[in-house]
Amino acid sequence: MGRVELVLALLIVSFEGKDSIAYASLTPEDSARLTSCLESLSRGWVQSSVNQANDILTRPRYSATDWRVWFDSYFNITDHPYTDDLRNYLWYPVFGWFDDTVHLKLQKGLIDPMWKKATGIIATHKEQLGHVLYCDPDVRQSVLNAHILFVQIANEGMVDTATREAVYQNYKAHIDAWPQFFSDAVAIDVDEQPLVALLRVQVWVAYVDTLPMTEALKSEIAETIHLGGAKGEKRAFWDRHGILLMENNRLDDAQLEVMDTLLRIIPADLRNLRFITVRDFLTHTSSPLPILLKRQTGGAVNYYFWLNDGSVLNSFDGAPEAGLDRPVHNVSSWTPGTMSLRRIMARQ
Amino acid sequence: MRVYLNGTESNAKDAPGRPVTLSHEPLRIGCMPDFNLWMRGVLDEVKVFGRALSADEIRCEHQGQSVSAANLVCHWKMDESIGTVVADSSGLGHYGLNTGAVPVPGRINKGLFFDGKDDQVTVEDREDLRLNGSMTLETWVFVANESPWPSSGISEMVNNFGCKVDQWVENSFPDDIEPRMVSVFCAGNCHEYNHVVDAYTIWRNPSLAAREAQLIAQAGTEPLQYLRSMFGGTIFRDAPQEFFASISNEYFTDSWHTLDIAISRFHRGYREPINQFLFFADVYSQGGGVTKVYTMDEVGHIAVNDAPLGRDRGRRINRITRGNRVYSFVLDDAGNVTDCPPLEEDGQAQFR
Repeated sequence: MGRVELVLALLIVSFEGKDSIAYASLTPEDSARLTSCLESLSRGWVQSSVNQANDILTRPRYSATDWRVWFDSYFNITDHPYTDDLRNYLWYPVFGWFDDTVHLKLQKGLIDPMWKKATGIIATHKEQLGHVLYCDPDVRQSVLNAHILFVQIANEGMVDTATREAVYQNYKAHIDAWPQFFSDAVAIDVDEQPLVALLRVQVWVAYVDTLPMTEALKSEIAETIHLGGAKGEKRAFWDRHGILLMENNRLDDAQLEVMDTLLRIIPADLRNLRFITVRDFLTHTSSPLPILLKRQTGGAVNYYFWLNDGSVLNSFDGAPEAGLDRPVHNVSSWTPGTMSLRRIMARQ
Repeated sequence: MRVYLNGTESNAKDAPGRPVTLSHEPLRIGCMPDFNLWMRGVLDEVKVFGRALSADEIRCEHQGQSVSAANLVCHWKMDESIGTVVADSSGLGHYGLNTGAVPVPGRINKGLFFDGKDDQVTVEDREDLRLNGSMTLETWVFVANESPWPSSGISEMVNNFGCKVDQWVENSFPDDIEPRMVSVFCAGNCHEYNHVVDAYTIWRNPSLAAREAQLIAQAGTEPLQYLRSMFGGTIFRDAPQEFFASISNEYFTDSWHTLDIAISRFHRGYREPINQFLFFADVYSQGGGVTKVYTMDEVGHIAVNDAPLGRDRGRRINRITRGNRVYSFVLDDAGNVTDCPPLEEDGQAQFR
């Protein structure tokens, strides 16, 4: 039975590879080859696919508009998933390798298709979002990775202020449109929908990161996500410290007071803390927990918070190895369950 | 304590001198409600012995061969098909009350599936369940497989767990020093925030980063060379990112007590903890003439005070003032302490 299913899967991939969809300005050969390469890279790192994809993605004749049309076809018309493996690869041409011209074209080319991908998933699966996110890894990875792309663009991208403003407004409208998923006033049943809370976190982070913070923006963000709608002290915490508490409205007054006190007595100059999650309140704790990824430019550190129920975790290297000047470390923490934190010095 | 997995010893740890707290709470199977931790999977043949089984006996148990029932306190076979009572086959009558766990095929006959949300078996507290000597806990476990979980992009972020401020306390100090009890929620937050301090302040400063790496290298793998020594020194070699945050567990719980540990250790031949203390104080001084000292308690009260510092020509801390007491340190060219004050008569370090 397993063999039969495998054969069918291969046939489907083969069919899609030969399908001649009219991509704007990419040559049919480039389009077909890039499709094949990204399909391959969606399942893992294949150096020959990397080399071929790099050649195409860096061709000077292709514009940002060409890429927007092509990525829309790839991710939306033919509905290819944006898997963790594909995200891992795409970071390199979009943010890491090559020159700024390539980066800018690819970033601009990805914004609209990825937004369409992320929002389309919510609209399509709104009735069963939690179930679909839990059961369908392609959907889960696609929507989360799409938002991760916007975090990456916010922190490492080259797009102009007008584009960032447009992304910000997109997020604002998206959060407004789906309060059941993205409003802090609505507690999520993390047992029934364990991944919806994490999607909320991801969306909030991308939203907060998109524009440089100002007092006016800080207030607007709080109002958009209805921060403190269920517990007012969270809004006060945000106003006071500029740190967003993402915890599904289960922190009590004593816990909030402890956090507030600690943040008042640890000199603010020593830290750049902006987000706090409480893992118990984002998912039921008997399950493995998610990877929480951060890339930061301008600073010197990439953070990887990798949470799992296992003991010591294996390396997951989503950062450019060439730039690492510190080894990657994993460790199980003392917290219930296990938390592993990896921190990697960023590329300079 | 020895841990056996599938009949073979997989881990062991000495915990000398630690008192066993005798709980009068019901015995719970399948959950740690104070941590909001719930078992998701199947348990079968849960046994409690009032003695430490030998390795041979453990192996026999794993292979389904009978061992002596001496000191068998409880044996829940979990073979019931219906009802809420989980029978105890030890003959001592420690029956359990099943709330939610579902009978499923187990390792031997039936077992109970716990849903990871709210299923548990509770056993009424009785004096013979309050074991305070050698004991063995044994069970077959099948952890339910979950689908893989996703990635998400988070900025400048820490992730805490949500136990109540006053529910749990931990002995935040190593075995060789008088304990301080502290709210785990406080200590946990403090630890995570100091990961951010480590990354944001130390790693971006070449001289601080170099000093941190030097301190870890100097301390090696000897546990007592670390202020937070209860985990063993290898953890900091394997995972140096835990070094600074782990010091914070001690420093924030009681900074002066931590200094006492460091001085005590120094005079016992463990010379690194005092360097670690001064490094932490230096980071929190931000290069200035004053650093922060902290205390925390079991219920989340946190206090902070300033402690004046003295520095040598290399801007390294060689003096710290605690009220009317001044601690002076002699440093070598590398900034390591070569001499420090003797232990005080009223010394806060009390060795067992």
